[in-house]
Amino acid sequence: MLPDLWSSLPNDAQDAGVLAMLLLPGVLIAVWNLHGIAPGALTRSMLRRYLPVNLVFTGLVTLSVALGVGLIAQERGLRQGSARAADRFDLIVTAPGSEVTAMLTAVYLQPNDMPLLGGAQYAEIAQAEGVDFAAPLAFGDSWQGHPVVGTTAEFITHLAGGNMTGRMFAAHEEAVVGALVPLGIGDAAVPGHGMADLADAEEAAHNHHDLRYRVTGKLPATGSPWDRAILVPVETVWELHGLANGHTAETAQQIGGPFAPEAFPGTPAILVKPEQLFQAYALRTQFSRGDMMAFFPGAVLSRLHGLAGDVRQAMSLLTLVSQILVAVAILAGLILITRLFARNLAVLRALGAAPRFLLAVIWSYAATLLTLGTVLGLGLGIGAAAVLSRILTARTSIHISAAPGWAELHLAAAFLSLSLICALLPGLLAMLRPPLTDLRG
Amino acid sequence: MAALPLALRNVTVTAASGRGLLNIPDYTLPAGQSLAILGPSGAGKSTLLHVLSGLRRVSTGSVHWGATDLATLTETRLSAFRRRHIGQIFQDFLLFDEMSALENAAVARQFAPGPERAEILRRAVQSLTSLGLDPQETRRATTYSGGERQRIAVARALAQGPDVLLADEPTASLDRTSAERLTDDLLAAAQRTGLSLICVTHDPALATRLDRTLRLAHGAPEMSHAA
Ligand SMILES: Nc1ncnc2c1ncn2[C@@H]1O[C@H](COP(=O)(O)OP(=O)(O)OP(=O)(O)O)[C@@H](O)[C@H]1O
Ligand SMILES: [Mg+2]
Repeated sequence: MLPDLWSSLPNDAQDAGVLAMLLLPGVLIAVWNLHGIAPGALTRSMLRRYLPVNLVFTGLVTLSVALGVGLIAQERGLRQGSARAADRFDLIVTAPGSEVTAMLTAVYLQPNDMPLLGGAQYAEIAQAEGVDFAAPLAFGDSWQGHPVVGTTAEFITHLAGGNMTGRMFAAHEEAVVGALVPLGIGDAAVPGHGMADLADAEEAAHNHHDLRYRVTGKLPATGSPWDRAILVPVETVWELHGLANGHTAETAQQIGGPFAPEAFPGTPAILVKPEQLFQAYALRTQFSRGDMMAFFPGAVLSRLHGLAGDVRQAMSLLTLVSQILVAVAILAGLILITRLFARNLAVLRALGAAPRFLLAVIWSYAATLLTLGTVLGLGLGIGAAAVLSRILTARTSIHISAAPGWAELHLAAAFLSLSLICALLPGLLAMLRPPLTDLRG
Repeated sequence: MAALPLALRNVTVTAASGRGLLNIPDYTLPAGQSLAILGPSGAGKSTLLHVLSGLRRVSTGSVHWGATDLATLTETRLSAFRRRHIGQIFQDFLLFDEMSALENAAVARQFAPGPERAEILRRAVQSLTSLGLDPQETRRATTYSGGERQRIAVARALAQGPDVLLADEPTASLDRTSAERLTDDLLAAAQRTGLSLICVTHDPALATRLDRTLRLAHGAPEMSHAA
C-alpha cells in the first residue's frame, strides 16, 4: 500500500521526500534541544570568544562538503553531457576494432587512424531494410583548429533537428558550420590539411588546399564536438585528397548518396539512422559480423560509465571517509573548546541553569558552525563544479552542465543530520560534569 | 518575598579520600538575617557555601531552606531552586567576557522559563542602576574595573530575585575603597529586598557589619556570636 503510493509519486516529490527524511533527525534534535530555551546570547558568546578557531572549523566543514557535492555534480554533469552529445547518433557501423575508439572518432571527432569500410559494404548498409539513411564520414582537414568533416546532407539535417539557420550546402564548395564555429553565413574558409593547432599554424599555412568553402548554413548548438565542426559535402573532401568522389562519370556533380561502390574511396565510420527505433536492434545484429561491427554509442557510453561507476564508488567512499574524518576532528575540537569554556558553564550551573541548558548552549554553538559550513560547502561545491564544467566544455566542446541536483542536497542533508547528532556529544559531556570541579578555578 | 530560614542538622561532608571536610551538628539562621563565615584558609568555608547552594551534596545530615530539604531534590530541580532562591557572588566575579553589563546581569533570562524572563531583565536594569552602572552601555564586561565587575556580579545575583545571597570573599579582589563600596551595596540590597546575606570573608570590616558570625576551624564551628 505505502510502497505503491511512494512509487506513484513523481520523481521530484520522492527526492524532496528523501531530503526531508534526511533532514528530519537534525530538525528533531534542534526542536528537542531548544524548545523553551533561548541560549542565543551564550552561544554568540562562545562563537565570539574563539572566532579564529570557529572560522577554521567552518572552513573545514565547507571544504569537505564542497568536495563531496562537487564530485557528485561534476560526475553527473560529465555523464549527462557525454550522453547528450551522443544523442543523435543512433547506430554506428565501422570496420572491426575497438568500439570506444570508433565512438571517439565518429561522435566526439577525436582524430584516430581507423580502418575503412569499402563501397560494397557501404552500399549493403545503405540499402538494407529499415535504414532511413547511412552517412559516410571523411576527415582530414581543418580550419583554424576546427575540424572539417565531410558527410551527407541527411545526417546534418538529422543533427540539426530541423533548426538550421540558412540552408544546407548544395554545391561542392559550400559548407554548413556548427554553432561554435566563428563563421557567419556568407563567410568563406580555406581549409588546411590535418589538424593544425596554433603551434604549427605556420606550417599549416603552407598546407592549404586550393579551395574556399562558402558558409550557407549554421547548426543549432547540439552540446557535442560537432558544434565546432565545419560540415561539407563528403565528395569535396575525397576530391581534395585525390580520391574518387563516390560517383561515376555520369553523376560526377551529384552531392550525396547513393554512391557508386566502385567509386567509393572508403569511410572510417557509417552513421546509420533506422526508420523505426525497434529496427535499430535488428540492424545492429545484422551488421555485427566478421568484416564489420555495429554498435549503439549510448550502450558503449553506459558501459564506460559502468566502469567509471567503480571509480565513482571508490571516490564516494573516499569523500565519505574524508567527511567522517573532518567530523571527528571537529568533534574533538568542539570538546576541547567546550573545556575552555568550562568555567563559564559551571557558573551557569551555579546560577541555576539546568544541566540540559548546557547541552542546548553547546549543541547550538556546534550546530551553528556545522550548518553554516554545510550551506557554504553546498554553494562552494556547486560553484566549483560549474566553473570546472565551463572549463571542460571549452576544452572538449561537450556541453557539460553541473546544475545542482538532488543527490548533492541529499549528501549535504545526510552530513548535516549526522553531524548534528554527533554534536550532542560535547554537550552531553559538559552536562555530566559536576559544576564544582570547574567553579574552583 | 518569602524569605527562607536556614536549618542545618548533623551535616557532614566527607571527601572521596575519606577525609572529613565539614561537620556542623546544628545551625539555624532566621530568614532575612546576615551572616559572616570566618576561619582560616582550608577551614571549609567555601565548602559550606557549596553545601548551602546545593552544588555539593552532604554526606550525612540535612540542609533545609524553609520547608525544602536540598537532599530530596534532583539535579534539575536543584538548579531550579538555585535559580529562584539563591543568588551567588564569587571572589573573581566570573562574568561572561564577551557580554555587556546588562547581558551579564540578565544572563538568567537565557535559562529561565519564558514567563520569568521579563522580570529578570527588569530587575537587572534596576540593580545595575542602583549600583551606579549604566545598563545601556554595550561595551564588554572585560572593559570594566574590578570593583565595577563585582557590582555587575551583584546585579546578576539580584536579578534572579533571590531570597538568599551567598558571597565567597566578594571583596577579596578589590581595593579598600571598592571593598567598602561593595559592602555598602550588598547591605543596602539586603535591606531593600529582605534577603539573607551570607558572606565568606577575611575582611573584618565586612564581618562586623553583618548580624551574625560563624567561625569555622577544621570544618567545624568554633563558636557563634550574636552581634
Ligand atoms: N574534593 C575534595 N577532596 C579533598 N579535599 C577537598 C576537596 N574539596 C575541598 N577539599 C579540602 O577541604 C578543605 C576546605 O576547603 P575550602 O575550599 O572549603 O576551604 P576554605 O575555608 O574556603 O579556604 P580558603 O579560605 O583558602 O578559601 C581544604 O583543605 C581543601 O583542600
Ligand atoms: Mg574558599
